[in-house]
Amino acid sequence: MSDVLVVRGEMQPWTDRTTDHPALAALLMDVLPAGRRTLIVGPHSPSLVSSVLDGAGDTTMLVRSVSDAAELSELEDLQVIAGALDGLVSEPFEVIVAADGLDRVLGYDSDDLSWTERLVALARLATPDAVVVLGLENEFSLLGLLDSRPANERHGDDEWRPLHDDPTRPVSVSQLKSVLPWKAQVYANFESRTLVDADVIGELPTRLAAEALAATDVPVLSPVAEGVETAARAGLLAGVSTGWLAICGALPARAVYAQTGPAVLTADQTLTGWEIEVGQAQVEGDLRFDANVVPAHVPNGVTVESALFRLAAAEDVPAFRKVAARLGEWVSSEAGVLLRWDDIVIDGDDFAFGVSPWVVAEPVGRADLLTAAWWRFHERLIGGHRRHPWPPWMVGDDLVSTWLGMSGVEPPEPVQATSPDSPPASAVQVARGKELAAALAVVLEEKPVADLRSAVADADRARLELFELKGHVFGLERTLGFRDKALKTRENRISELRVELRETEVALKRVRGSRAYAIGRLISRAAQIRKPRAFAGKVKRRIRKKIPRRR
Amino acid sequence: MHHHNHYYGQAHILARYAGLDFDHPPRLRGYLQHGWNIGCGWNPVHEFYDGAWRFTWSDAPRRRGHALGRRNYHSIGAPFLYLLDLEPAAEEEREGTLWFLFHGWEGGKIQGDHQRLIDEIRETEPGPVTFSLYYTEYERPEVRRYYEDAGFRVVSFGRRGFSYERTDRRFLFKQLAELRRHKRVAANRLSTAIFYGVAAGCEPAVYGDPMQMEGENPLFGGESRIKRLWPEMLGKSIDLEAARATTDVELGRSWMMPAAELRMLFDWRERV
Repeated sequence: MSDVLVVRGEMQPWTDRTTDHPALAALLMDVLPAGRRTLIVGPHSPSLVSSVLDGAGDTTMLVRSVSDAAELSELEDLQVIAGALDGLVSEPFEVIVAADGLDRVLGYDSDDLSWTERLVALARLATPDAVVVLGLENEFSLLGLLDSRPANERHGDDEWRPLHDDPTRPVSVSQLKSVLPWKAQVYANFESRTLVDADVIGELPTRLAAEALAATDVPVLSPVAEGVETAARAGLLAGVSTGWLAICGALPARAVYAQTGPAVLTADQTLTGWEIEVGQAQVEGDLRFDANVVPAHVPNGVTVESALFRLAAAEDVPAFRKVAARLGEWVSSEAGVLLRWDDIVIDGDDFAFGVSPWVVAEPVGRADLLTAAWWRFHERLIGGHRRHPWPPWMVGDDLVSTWLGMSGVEPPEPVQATSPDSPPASAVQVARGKELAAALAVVLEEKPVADLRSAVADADRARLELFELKGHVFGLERTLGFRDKALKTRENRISELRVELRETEVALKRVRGSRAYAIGRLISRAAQIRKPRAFAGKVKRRIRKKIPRRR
Repeated sequence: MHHHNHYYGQAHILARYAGLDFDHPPRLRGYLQHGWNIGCGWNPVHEFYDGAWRFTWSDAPRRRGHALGRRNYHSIGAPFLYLLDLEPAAEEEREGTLWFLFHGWEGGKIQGDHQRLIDEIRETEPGPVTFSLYYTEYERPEVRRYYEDAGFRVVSFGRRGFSYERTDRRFLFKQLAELRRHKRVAANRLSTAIFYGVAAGCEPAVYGDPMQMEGENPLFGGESRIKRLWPEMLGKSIDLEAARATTDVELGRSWMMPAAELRMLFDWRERV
């Protein structure tokens, strides 16, 4: 612990919020040279400062808040100065870390310096061969473009001068590089959860960037992930990041740094894909973090999810079915890796695991792993309002059960409903997989979708559902009409038959009462006599009995 | 369910395939395509209730229907293909040709030169000819007599029914049985029966006066469009492999699905 020095421009009372960024810390550890005289400028989280201190020589930190400075002074081997950048007069430093950028380095008593003037002030503190790490927020970021809040609410009113009206701020990678007095390697920074070398393109960094943005709390007009993918295809991934990190005067580091659970994943591009390293971490619960299940090499290629989204949108169920069947053959439960189609890569005719380190803590069967993957896919397909060919009454458990069937999982036997709202047989089948998928969403820190476009689309879908249900009711009523008509036809026929029956009975009665019928019946009976002589003898004897003999 | 779904006993076949009652198939939540055509699977003026789902045999009708502004399609494969699964073929000697006259329907009778057609059939067909007439022609003695007098065996598979009445549930069973007895299947128009015949193992042929039907709506392009799109299915001698490939596409073989999936798709859940 050291005493806090105070220079011109300090602020009190005031505090600047900071957040831990393991990926950023890992990048700094890779690029900062050891044993050099170091200056950390602006607010950085204590854990990040500690990671800088691990390898640095004499280290000084400048923050504008006196209270923040007092807290930071608890750290060993750190000289903390409270004050503004323009108030600091010092010998030049061999390393300068300003990963937070130059927005929070002036106080209310400072001159109104533009961004470039602050950069000049920073440069004055660096030796000619210094290693400088400088962050900059991207005014053109996709997250900023899709931010649903108006500008005056987006940045709050906590800054006494509107920083973002500064026309000297660079708003692209090339502008940043050109304005810096040093040669720089620039990383596209996605909420400090994923950092990607601005010169690198590929499916993996795109996925990691999208995941980083999906974990933010920024209220957006529409989902960010789609825009990220499109920008990446256009080669503009670095152009739409939430910020940049310029690394000046240091050796090149790895191409990708990304937060994965509590650990950090790093990746370098190869000719066929990505060489991956994942740090160890301990997470217990339904899902366990296991860095060892992440393959050392992940191939280039689209994910299964992307392929399935396209097939569903094309309503190409046979092709969808084939992919699902191949997935069913490919999946085994041995490793216990929780399957997610957005992290399984299509590798030629085969599939390959991506970078997900999440495994199921308890032993789980192949069917439940498949269910978890299909349920997650279901949530992203339906929740994302993507086009698909399945009717609304299938959406939910039945649809997941259908996909499971395509993957070779036996469907459940139909069960007799006991009430109108009895769940389908598929509800039991998919229950465990749903739990696993929900647990994955928690560890991935995925937020429920609350963007405006989805809300409007949800309302539209509800309206459409109502429209279709009304049509369905109409159809049922029409069917009832048809059935009613058929019943009436039968009723009329029965009435006709009854009339015919009555007429026939009357006619029969009339015939039975006639002499002709009596004679006919007599003849009919007489015709049945087989032995006429014997019959005549019997008749004669009976007559004799009835007629008394003459005496 | 729309009563058209009962036509030819198609709903009955699907119900049996799905493990449900053949005689009384449950209500199917939507419209089931009941015959092959060059449009969206239904006649151009067919009315659908709002938001109805349409279950087509194959994907092409879905695409065409989409262009008509219709939505909510799901292709399932022709019920006749499911019938082939349900009724495996026995080894049987095939002979002759089962010839289908392009048929009218309850609302439209066909007009054409029957004698000229008979002459052409005689010239073309190598073996005995069984002539299939839909009941609308079968019950017109003046039409039926033409073919009986020509020495053809004349058959009819029954009525498709209307408003759930008089549907011959075994219509397609009878048709399949006849097809399996014959080596060739022929018609004067490319039609459902030809595709059924090919699926049932017959060699196809399409030739002769296509005849005209009263009130026929050429909205979808008529015979000339058929010639442009399916030339491999026309003629007296047709490449069987090509015909089989086209038949699989048109009847939607790759769109067939397992029983459990069909039950869920049709909302055939067990209910109270």
